[in-house]
Amino acid sequence: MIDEIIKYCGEYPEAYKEINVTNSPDFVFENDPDYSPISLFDSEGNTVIVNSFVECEHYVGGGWNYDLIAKEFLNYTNLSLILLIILGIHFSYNKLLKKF
Amino acid sequence: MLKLNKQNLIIIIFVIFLLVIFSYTFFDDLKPIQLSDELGFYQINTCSFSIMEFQLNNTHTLYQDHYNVRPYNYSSIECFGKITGIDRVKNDFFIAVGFNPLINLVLMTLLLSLLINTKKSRNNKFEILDINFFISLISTTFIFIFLIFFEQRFYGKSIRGLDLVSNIDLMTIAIYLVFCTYFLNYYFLKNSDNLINYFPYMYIFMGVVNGFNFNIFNIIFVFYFIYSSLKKVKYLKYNVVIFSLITIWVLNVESNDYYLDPDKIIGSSGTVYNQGSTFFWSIVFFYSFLGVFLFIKDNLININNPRLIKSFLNSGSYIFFIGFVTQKITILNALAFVLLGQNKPTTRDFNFDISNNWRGFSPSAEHIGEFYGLVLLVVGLSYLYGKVTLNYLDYIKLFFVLLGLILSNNRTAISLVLLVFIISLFKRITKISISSIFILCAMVVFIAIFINNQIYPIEFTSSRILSEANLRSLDTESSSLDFLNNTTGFLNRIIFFVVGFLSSIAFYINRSSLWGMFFARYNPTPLDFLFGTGPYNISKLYNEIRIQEEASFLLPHSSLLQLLLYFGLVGLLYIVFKIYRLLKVHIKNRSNLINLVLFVYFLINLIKSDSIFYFSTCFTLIFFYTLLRVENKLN
Repeated sequence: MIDEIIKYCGEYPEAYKEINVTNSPDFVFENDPDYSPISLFDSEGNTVIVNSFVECEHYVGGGWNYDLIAKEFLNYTNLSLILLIILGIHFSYNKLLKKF
Repeated sequence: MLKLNKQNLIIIIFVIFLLVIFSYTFFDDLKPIQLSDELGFYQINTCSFSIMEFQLNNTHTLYQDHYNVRPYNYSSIECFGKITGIDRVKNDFFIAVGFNPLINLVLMTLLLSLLINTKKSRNNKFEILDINFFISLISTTFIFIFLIFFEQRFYGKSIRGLDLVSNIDLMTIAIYLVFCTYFLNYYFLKNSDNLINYFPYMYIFMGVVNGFNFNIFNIIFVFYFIYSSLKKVKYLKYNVVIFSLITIWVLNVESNDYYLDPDKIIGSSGTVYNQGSTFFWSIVFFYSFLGVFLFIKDNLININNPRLIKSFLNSGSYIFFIGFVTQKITILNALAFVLLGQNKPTTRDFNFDISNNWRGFSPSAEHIGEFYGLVLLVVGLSYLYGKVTLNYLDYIKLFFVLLGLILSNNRTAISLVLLVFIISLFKRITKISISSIFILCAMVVFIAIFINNQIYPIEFTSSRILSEANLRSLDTESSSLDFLNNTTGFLNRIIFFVVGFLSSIAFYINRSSLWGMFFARYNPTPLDFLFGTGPYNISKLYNEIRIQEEASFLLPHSSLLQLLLYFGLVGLLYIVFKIYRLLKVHIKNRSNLINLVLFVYFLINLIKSDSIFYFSTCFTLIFFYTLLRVENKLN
């Protein structure tokens, strides 16, 4: 689980103290201005934005640890194919120009 | 008026392309609402509004100080350029815009390739795409893919959705790298004969690929070195020295994986201290260094002095202008950060209070102060010695450069610029020798310090570094501090003299605390001390010994200390000796005095600053070094 938390939330802050959120039902997560907000996804594609490491750790621990990227059309793989095609066209164009 | 030639047309197409990326959600059904204290709407509808659509509906977020647009690097490609969340901390709103490291890399590549390609060249483009080009392309890609692979802790977070231990995902990243290396280097080689006259623009296009821990210029110059080595086999000899040093450094690494958040030195520091990272960072450093060196050497013949001087002047004034604009307009602040590859976004605290040390567009006030000073010296000395003529517009540009220097409050740069101009003017008006004027200036400075009661006893100043280091130490004392505190006999007298001298200088230039912190941390083994731990490697320094430190990330603030850390005492002495010999021969030959002054100005600044971390500074330093070296050889 720690690997998952580091993967989605980043490294544990120095002198980090774990807070047991479930013990306090009225707990409110405080925003950390130094922490870049992160979008987390659950298995159904719902999204939540977390604004502090504590909040992120809590959500990832609760199952918000899914990547949606593979489902999107503009994903890394498709785009890399487009880039390869552009590169191929550029190369062919410049090589053909030399020959003819 | 702007002519609509092929190059300008391509740039216009690129701008339109950017506009489309950052505004293409205009035509869907969901519309952004007026931003208020209730942020729920934007927290539910993430990745639904492009930043332009949002800001056109909330124009006050474009310029009001309490709205901040923050690039959010970890988004998917679909979220690129869209609002990924809005938060409020006290009175400040933070608007997160989705960016993605791989798309950033592609966009920066396209932008830089276009900029490089706007200049006409005499090179034959048909000869570029040969077998050497493709071997260099594959080799460069391999180097950078391994550089990424060995920094998984850093990239695991920034490149979300790709698993760095999966071969398929690494292949995907490799395709992006191949694409970027191909285009960057194709256009770089195609136009290389002309580009040397535009290198000061590197201070604007800083080249850090947002979300990656390297500089886009590393890709260009690593490639250039490999490409040159394949064309001229004699350059391969450098590899013997490089790999000998790398072997020492790699074998000396203990596998404790010290991790460092690179902060503003991103792109010029490894994040983790392990064997793989040390190996590939060393290769990137040396190949980039040699690539720059060979590029400058190959193209010295193409230097056009008036054009180069104008580039310095334009670059200096544009940096001031861009810094001023991007501190105010929130979207430009974020876009400049990503597309121009800033190490840090432009600071938003512009005012005319010089004690603020305004860094503007640059990552540090020291870095930009040095550059403004350099611009004033390049343009001023060239003007004084009749190498360039200035028009009214140039004087206005010079005024902004001067204003930038004053606001940066880099006192070393200001003092050196004043000193050089005083000496130059005296020399022109009177027959007094340079050394007499120099002594006169030194006396004036000494009297001014004395009148202001700023002279302190030598017993006090000579112990400042050690006192600060001892003060900062917590439970564990570093090996360097232990050595300095406990050495006895003859060695003690030498150390007392060397450290005492360094301490006194540090005290008067306000470096006692920072250099003291360095020694409190610096914990080398004997082998580390002699040969260093490898270039771009400060993770060990910042993790091994815990000290009492400030909340902010403070660097050593001395290139000499960095060289000691990277290359050890042997490397440091070798570099100092090379520079000493270069200067000695140059002075003896009475070669171009302006280049000598500029190089020395830069060196003095670097002794007390961290600017060597930035690619633009490294390039400038190698440029003047190569220039003096070639002048020496010609004489």
